[in-house]
Amino acid sequence: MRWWWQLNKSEADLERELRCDLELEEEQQRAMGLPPEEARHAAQRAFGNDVLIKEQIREAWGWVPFDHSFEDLRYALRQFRRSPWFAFTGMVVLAVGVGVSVAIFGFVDAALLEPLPYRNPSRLMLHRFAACLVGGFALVALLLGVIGLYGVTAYAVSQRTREIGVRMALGAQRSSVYRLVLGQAGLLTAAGLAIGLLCSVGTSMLIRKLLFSVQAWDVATLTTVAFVLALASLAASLQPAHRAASVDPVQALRGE
Amino acid sequence: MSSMTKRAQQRTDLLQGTLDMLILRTLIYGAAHGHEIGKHIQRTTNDFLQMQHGSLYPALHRLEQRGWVVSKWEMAPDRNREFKYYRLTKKGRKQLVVEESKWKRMAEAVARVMWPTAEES
Repeated sequence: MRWWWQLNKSEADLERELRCDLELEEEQQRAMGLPPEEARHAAQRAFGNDVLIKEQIREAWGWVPFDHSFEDLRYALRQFRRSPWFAFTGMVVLAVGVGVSVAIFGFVDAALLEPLPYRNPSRLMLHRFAACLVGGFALVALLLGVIGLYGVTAYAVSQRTREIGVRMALGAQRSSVYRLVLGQAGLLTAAGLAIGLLCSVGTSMLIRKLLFSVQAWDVATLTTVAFVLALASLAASLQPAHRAASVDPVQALRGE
Repeated sequence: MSSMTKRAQQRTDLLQGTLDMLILRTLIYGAAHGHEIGKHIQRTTNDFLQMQHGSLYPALHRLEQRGWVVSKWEMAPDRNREFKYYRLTKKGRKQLVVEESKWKRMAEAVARVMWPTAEES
């Protein structure tokens, strides 16, 4: 909350600074013999576009990227509220992907990598093969999660082509369109990951009761899966984001 | 279009550095508020450099962000009103020397191309 207070204080300060100097300029113009009304206009002309000045000063403060990502995040949240099913689908797909992969990787880790508590481990070839198979399933689950995210993001972009066209016609930069799409996908991924990790810990606890030497809280597995999935979903949302950024405003506005 | 914006960016960068130097140099004489700094530069250059407030204020805030100047609301000596006064810091003084030598080198380099002396040409 402190930074918010600081921001408001700086804003008020900036407002006051510009106003004081503008008034001084106006006074000097009047002293040069201009009638009051004209003096004010002349001062404002000499000053330039004060909205633009303020924007540039905020940029100098270095808060703008922070400010913009906050706005993007809020916008993404609003989008989720407007189409909860879309958000729900994306999250569930990711969460299932994470949950299944973590659970299976945990199992593989226990069966494949750790020395098994048997007298003659070489006779366990079949077990290892089975473990590899199960590991393959985990990979497939991960892949499905990523494809799901790609599909959801691509669908969202295709639905919003017109909106993006309007934004670009109004002067949105390509980078801000990228940020818009990636921000939304990122939020989805974060939510999906969180739910998935929670579920997977629960599942692992269940498996642990059935199987020996499977840990419920395998931090390494959890972080690896989370990292891989985050990276993969970034890659999956890059292509739709690129498509969104290369929308031709004229085409987008003419369509429909 | 992107190449055009990039070129515009480069141009403003060059002007920005110069403006920073001019502001720091102006503040050598003592604290001043934005309006005074602008007027001073404009007057000293015989109105050649019309101070665009649009670039002056962002520059001032940038300098403050970097710790080269500090600002404070103070009563103006000649009128009964407060203004935001900017004052040079020690770091700012050092930076002024750096900017000055950079500018000198730049000017010399340009001069050598534009007006080659007899022995060099």
